[in-house]
Amino acid sequence: MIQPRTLSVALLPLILACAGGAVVPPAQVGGAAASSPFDSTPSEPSISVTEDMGSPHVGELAPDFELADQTGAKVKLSSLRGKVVMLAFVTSWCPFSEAEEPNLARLAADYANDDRVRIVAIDIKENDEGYGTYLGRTKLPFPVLHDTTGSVTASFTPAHAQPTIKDRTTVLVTSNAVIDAEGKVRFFTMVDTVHFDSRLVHARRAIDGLLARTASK
Amino acid sequence: MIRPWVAPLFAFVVACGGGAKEAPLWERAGLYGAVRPEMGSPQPGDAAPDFELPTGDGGTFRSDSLRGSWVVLHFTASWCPYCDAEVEHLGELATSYRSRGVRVVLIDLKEDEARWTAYAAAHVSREVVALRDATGDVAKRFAPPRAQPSFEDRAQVLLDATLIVDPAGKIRLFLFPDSKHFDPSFAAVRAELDRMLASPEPSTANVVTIDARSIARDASTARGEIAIHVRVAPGYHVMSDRPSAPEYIATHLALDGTSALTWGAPKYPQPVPFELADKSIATFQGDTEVRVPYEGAPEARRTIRGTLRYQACTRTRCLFPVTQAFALDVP
Repeated sequence: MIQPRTLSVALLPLILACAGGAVVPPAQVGGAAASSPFDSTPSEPSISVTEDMGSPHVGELAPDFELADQTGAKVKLSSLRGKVVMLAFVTSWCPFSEAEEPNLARLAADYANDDRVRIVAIDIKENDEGYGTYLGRTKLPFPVLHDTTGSVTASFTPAHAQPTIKDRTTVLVTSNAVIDAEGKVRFFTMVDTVHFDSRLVHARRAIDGLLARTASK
Repeated sequence: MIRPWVAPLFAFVVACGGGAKEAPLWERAGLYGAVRPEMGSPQPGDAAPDFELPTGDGGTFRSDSLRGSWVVLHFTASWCPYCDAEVEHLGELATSYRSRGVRVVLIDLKEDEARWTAYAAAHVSREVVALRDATGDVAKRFAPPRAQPSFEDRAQVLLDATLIVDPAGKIRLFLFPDSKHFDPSFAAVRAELDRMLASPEPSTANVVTIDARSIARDASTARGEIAIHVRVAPGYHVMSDRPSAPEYIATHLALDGTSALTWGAPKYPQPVPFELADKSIATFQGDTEVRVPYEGAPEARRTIRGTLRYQACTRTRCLFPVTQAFALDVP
């Protein structure tokens, strides 16, 4: 009854998932996370923002911005040129953002002593209460910028991504972008609710890939 | 690395073993978010958890009031962008399926009353039964334990989930949101609903109905014959009076006699073959007639009582044997 072709197609993601898990040491991705095909190491990196979705997409220059973090310090994207920057678009109310939050903290902690990398979260258009909720949930070793009007988030929202969602800033909730030393977007995903990469395995790979490329230059 | 393999492989084998031709639900267009067996219960085939929630006007809504109707159940929150994009389409679904006996129920998750009431008034169609699960306790009971394991608040697993529940209260479709193939119009749910409404699983109520059709009598000899109409519901068959295998349950009719009335051996109809894999099973189906000779005076009693023992099956499911009592008015 099992058709060999169907079997191999179905097994492929499993093989990739298992192989992927082996590349990243368990200590780095958090051994406590449940081993489930539904959110651990999906074979594909969520929904990649592609050219047909509009700008910015992978290969384009990231829009510049300046926003304040939780300490009041201003963070300007263009001032981080020369570093690999990961931008995590978050809100306190999104369950996917919430599930990613401790893993984002872990990711930032892992690169805390690496001056080539910056992890930065952008809280999308929340009031002070929502922003406070996000900040208060986990000890966060990275800046969380407060995009109070949503204008920065809007500048990152590709026009044709999830076109049925009216509030365009919410399209980017639980999206992750990795920007290279030249300020170009190299990895940009939106949340995939079916194959949820809560442990940010693919974002971590993108960062490591860029670091490896810089090192070999 | 071995353990993570086992569950998906098992599910895959089960999925392929169960329906050789049909791909698993979650590989079909629009259904990628379908709950998978390895996520645990509840899932399609299980009874939907029962619940009671307050209605906006101070009453209580009980889920058992939905029995007998097809139900589309959706979980939402006013702040959820995907849910918000879907809410007007949910109203359209309710309107277009109302005449086909489908009810649409929307459950809001963990919002305060004022916020939800304002949102519902502005965005939720009046065709939709709008309820609020203030604590998330109802949603939690619907959350399969291994779905989105990184969500600590298990009620959140249900956010933006859609279920189809059949008239018997059984879950027939259970979809989680799929942001990758997001379609707010519920096209895949409508297609599944159309398919189910076109070929509903036969109800387990009234599988066999019995009534008297005619009575013939020869006054000079005080003998006669009663014809008893036995109707087997569409989609079902019962084993014949002489089943094809000794372990099958024979259909057997028995009528209560009196000192003035003696029943002879029932004459059963010709069996109908039911082909199952390589077997041919002798069954009764549809409208059939059992004729029972008698001696005496049936008119002395206005009502004839008796029992019919049978065991019924559909193509995919068998019911336990029953002995059904009946009372027939003599025509």
